[in-house]
Amino acid sequence: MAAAESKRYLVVTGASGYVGRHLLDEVRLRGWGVIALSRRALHAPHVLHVPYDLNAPLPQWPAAEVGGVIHLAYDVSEKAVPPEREVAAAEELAARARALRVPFVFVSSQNAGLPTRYGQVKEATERVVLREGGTVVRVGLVYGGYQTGSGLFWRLDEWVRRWPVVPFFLPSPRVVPIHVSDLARWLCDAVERREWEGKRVFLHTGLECSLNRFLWFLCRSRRRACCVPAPVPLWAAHALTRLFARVFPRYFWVTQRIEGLIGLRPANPGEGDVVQVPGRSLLDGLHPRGSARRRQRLHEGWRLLHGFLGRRVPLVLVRHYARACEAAEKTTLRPLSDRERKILAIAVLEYSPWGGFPAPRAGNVWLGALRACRIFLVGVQAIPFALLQWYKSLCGRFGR
Amino acid sequence: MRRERTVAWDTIVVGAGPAGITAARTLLEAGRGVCLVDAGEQPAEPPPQAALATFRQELGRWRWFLGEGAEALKAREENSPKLRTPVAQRILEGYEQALQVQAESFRVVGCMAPGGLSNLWGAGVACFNETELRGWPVRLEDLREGYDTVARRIGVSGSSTDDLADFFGKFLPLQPPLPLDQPAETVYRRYQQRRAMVRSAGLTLGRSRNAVLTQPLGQREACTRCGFCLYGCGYQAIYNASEELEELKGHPAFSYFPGLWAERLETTPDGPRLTTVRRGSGERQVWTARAILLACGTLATTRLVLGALGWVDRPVRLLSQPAVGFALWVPRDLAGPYPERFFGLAQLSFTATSPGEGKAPLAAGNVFLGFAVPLWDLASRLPLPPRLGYRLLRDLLPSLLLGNAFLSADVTEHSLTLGSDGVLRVRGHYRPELDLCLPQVVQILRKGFRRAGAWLLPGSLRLATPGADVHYAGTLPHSARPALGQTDPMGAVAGLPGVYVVDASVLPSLPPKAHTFTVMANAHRIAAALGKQYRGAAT
Repeated sequence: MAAAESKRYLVVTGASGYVGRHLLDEVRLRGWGVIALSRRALHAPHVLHVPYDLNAPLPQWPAAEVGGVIHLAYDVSEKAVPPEREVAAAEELAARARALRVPFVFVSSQNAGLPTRYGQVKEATERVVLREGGTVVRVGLVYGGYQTGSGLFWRLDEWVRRWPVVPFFLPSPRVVPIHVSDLARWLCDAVERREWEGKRVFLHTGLECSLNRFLWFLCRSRRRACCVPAPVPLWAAHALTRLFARVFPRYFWVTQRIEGLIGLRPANPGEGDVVQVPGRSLLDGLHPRGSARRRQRLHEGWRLLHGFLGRRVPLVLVRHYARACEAAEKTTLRPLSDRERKILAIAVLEYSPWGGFPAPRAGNVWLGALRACRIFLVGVQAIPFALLQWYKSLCGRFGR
Repeated sequence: MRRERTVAWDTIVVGAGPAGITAARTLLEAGRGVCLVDAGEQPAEPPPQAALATFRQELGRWRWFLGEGAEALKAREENSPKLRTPVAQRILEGYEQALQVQAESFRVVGCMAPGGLSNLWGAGVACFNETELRGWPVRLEDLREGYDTVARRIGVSGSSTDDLADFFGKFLPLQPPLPLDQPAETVYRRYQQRRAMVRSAGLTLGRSRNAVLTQPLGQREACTRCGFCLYGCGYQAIYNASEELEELKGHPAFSYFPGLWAERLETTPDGPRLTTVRRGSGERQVWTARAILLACGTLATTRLVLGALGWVDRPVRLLSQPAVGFALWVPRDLAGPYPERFFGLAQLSFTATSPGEGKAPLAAGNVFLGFAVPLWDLASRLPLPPRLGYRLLRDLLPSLLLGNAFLSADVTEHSLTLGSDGVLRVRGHYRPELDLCLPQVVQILRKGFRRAGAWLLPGSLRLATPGADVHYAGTLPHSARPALGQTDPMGAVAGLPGVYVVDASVLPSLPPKAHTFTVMANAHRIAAALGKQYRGAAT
């Protein structure tokens, strides 16, 4: 316990969970220690474990210089802990933090307020925390990192790995994905800076997208075989879930999960401050590694170059594309964006025997006519794109 | 504390750019011993002696054109295509850190390779006329010898009989111009046919004057129109100060010390002292001389002078021209061929003047071939998905021209401050007058080029970030009666005896034209006068 006196400690509940484990990594990077309140023991040099169950009263933690409290714990099985106990536990923690005069951060969800057990518990807890002067951090769909626990993201990950079909919701719910390591960083910053005390903030990475797009990205990065999108009207998904809940009341948690997934909604500025935080792109957050990544590059190169060339692509050119991509990522220290990869494909094609331009006879009228027709066709194909840009500019001008 | 060595010289020139090399050469010719101190070590790698059209068709050439780590992709935010090449990326790297500069709304570009920014210049040659020299303590007559000598030395090609003869200077000794490539040729032919009509719109067209050889000069070969101009010149047809530096190294009174960054300048009763730091090892060296000529680029020179004057936390005016880029489409050349050989720098030049007799041009610029810029680079700038952009450009390139235009520096209000913490802060700002001037220029370009058979592509005209023109000047202007922070007509800095400035810092104004040639002529003028002084003292 000697170390406890010389170091700054962060009290974290639910430290053995998905977000909790990544938070421990971030805390270690910052040179802090952790007092982990969790059911499962954690063995790490910078962690002091204190057994804690949401059903039990809040235990005393070792005397140390506590810099803040982050409350992550939630009964995912939704069977062991009654909702009122979840709220009471958060209240006890917030009161303890207030007594110690340290910041208290409660990690809530994009789903808070939904008519599910999870949404209701989160909303009730938020009210209590705000009353105690704590900070409520609402986050969107947390993804990425390594697997611990069974969060929503890992359920989806398991689905796309196992099944060749992904649901394609019509219309699609909107999600705000945030990488788990980015979230851990911002939670530590919230404790350190104390800017958001007594506030409800929504961490927005500027990456709002449809759930369908997110699932499609997940498929592309996690599954080696192709995946078939299955259109599912949202009303049908709701009706089926209710039917399932009525027929199999034992599997209440399954219906709750599905309701939570299809009921996702973006940040509502009326419910708190929307804080824009820098985050990584989906491609970065979900990237595969090693040979799977190379295979993906080759596949993508074949697709892109085929689109540009309009005929069979020599494999050697595809290999050059993959190498150029890897070289560029090494230089930029980040994955290339969609547009950058397309531009790179054009460059690789341009500097190859297949990128040469034919040398027609000058003054050929038919060639001029052919070119004029092709330019006209490009103009026609650009119309949907121009309309989309126009719509986006309108959205930007008049607000969403 | 690192060891400091002291070395005494007759004359020290700091910087091996066009101005430094010109000054050094003139001083050597006047019989003075010259020591050249330069931060550059490795010269920029020249491109191969081959035609671009065939060279790029070899498998894996993306490594040469994009760089081993595809660095060219990373540089897409640069305004000029020349600065986006991997060659440029390599020689520009590290300049901002070395200069300790913090820029706000301003693009700082500097080069530490031998030859300075002549490694990347557009080779545009123009003389300032009497109107543009108004307010200078230097007359055109004083500069004329410099213009003539420098033009003969570097080799300038162009036509002396077109409509821009007055604008560029009639007295320049010129080599014959390069043949025009197809879309540019079409536009120029049409301009000549409808000259009065185009000029009534305010647009005047002419052949560009380039520091490019069309006839061999010394060791340098004539231009072969290989198309590599954006990446340098393998035949040395485009003037580069680093090649002249190699010639100077053979002179017995010339000493060259590369890899030394000029850190501090001070004056002592024995003369000026310069402290340099060796790049890499950090070894310091103190240099004393009868005269120190600063030619290390406007920003670095100003930093040294302000430091020596103790002029800290006081903003200094910095001149730089607002630049715009645009694309022109020549419908008559829609069926044009993809050329095997072409010239990649300015083919045509123009001035845009608001209607009225005797008015100074609002803007001046150059027109280049669309082929000069890589297709992927153009595709990345189109407001279209890359696939459509690629298809469009494949058909549009034979009839595409690209242009740039520079406006007068009077519509800018940039400033430069040396902080007490040693950081050089550059702040870029366009004056509200630019909002009045720019639409006029756009209107002239649109109307004038349409009459000459070229269409300004909608949405293609973009105003570059302040400083992207890389024509920095005017921080230590010449003045007949120089105050602190100014230079006399000889380039001597007020308050720093023995210190002369010969680069663009001394230009009191910056009209809308390329200034490098004038900077070289001015450096020649100052160095020639210093040489005469020396001869007088010796007698």
